[in-house]
Amino acid sequence: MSATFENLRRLYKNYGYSRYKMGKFEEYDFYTKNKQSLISQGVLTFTDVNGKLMALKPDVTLSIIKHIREIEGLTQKFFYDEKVYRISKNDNAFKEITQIGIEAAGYVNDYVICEVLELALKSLEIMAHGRDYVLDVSDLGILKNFIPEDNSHEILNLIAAKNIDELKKFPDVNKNLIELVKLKPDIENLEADLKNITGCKIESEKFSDIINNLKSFGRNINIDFSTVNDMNYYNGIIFKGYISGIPECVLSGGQYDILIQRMGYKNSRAIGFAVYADLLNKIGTQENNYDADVLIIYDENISVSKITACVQKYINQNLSVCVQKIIPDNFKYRELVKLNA
Amino acid sequence: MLNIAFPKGRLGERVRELFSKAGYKFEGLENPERKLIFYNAQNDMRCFRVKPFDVSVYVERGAADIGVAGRDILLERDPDVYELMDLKTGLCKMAVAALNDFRDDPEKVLRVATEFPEIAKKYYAGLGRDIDIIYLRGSVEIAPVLGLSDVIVDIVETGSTLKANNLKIVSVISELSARLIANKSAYKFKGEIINQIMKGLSQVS
Repeated sequence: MSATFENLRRLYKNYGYSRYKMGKFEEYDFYTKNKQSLISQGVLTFTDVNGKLMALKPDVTLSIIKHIREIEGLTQKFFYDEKVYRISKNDNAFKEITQIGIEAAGYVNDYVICEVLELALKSLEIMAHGRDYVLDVSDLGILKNFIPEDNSHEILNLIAAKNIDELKKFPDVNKNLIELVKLKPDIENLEADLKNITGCKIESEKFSDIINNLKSFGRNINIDFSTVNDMNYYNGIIFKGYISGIPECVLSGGQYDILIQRMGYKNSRAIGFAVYADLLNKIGTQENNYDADVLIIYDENISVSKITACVQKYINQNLSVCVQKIIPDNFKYRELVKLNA
Repeated sequence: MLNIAFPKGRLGERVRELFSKAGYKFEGLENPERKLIFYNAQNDMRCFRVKPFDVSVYVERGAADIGVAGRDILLERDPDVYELMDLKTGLCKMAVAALNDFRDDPEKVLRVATEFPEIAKKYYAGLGRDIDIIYLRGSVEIAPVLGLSDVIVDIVETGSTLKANNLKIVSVISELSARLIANKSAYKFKGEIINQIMKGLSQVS
């Protein structure tokens, strides 16, 4: 697992992203001011020694963005590897989550968007360890034209569930929205298909241009307009990554120009993504099947030097060794060695 | 291999027939007895029978790639899954029901007995009505009769249970039916076979 993290960090460094190391806490006031921009609803708080209300970070992006400098033409590129604290939907309790990700903020053009998408794909490749992986890409800029103002929350939920049967029941849902959600995932005729459905030439061209630059990733890129995310936070291109064998999305990100502008950077745009590294544990690995390769059980009368020599023999073979007087309960080992005097 | 979660009980029987008509038969599923897992070697599939309420859990967590769940359970649990198809079977309604002579007094907090607290909360929040939820695990119809609640939020199929207990439908919250659901990740990697199943089911449902 740590090798995977190291490879991710190296990938981001190679593309000129610098590590952003931050403290664990943030003043709670910061989150109340930016409540609308927070992905997680709950914030874990405590009072520090000065009586100030503090929070354990539920999110990394906001903390990075608040420190950027707005310089015309400059793209500020950061990556992070942090723990955040959020309410888990499954058991409605706070959970510590490891988040690794990147942010590119300030001057963002098509090139920067492509670079971030490419890094998302390469991150998936690193995490997949030879398994299949796929990056779903959607464009909220195109999608939002088709979402009626009334019931927008409910309609977005139905889109995310590809629930065509229920979408059809809404009288103000345009049939083009349904076509968009049903769009074929392959990118061969993307521009023409999109133009036919949406009627909007400029947006379709722009989206297709960006996607075309990533053609070399072939079927690892999936156009999927059922990919939606919080519209208070994201606009433009958004994406989610999946790895075969992991039941949830392991990578999520997109453009968040609205958020960065709301924080006072009027001329900036931003794009980034986060990897949910904890989910990688859901892929069973061989190495986790045993507590140790070799379990050595020794007799009371045996000399220390003999035990040490035996341990060294296996360590030199690159095996893990556990020395015990008795066999521990529920201990799994490949080989049992008994040392008798 | 494609893993499919079927609900136990009456709905499960209908779903089995539907899959069978669409060409997907599972060995021994007509007489399951105590067995829980059934195979279709030809199409490299296996299905297993779980409690209807749990189907969405198996699918959301990826133990099943696809499954069949009632819309009531999807509304209640709100799982992060694809709801791919209305199978148009197991038709019924989620409704508010009360005693025949019930009069809703808007000055009072409404006492709602239900097996579906989330659906009830969401429905009354939409109306801006203050309610007191009484969560029961079955035989909900008895609650208004004994004065435990003012109304119930429950599944109504034919209405005969309501009638037998002097209850009537006050309003319908949602039409319900069985849905084919899929794990989002599994759909990315096993989409071809899932789409093929959907095609088969659409011809018989």
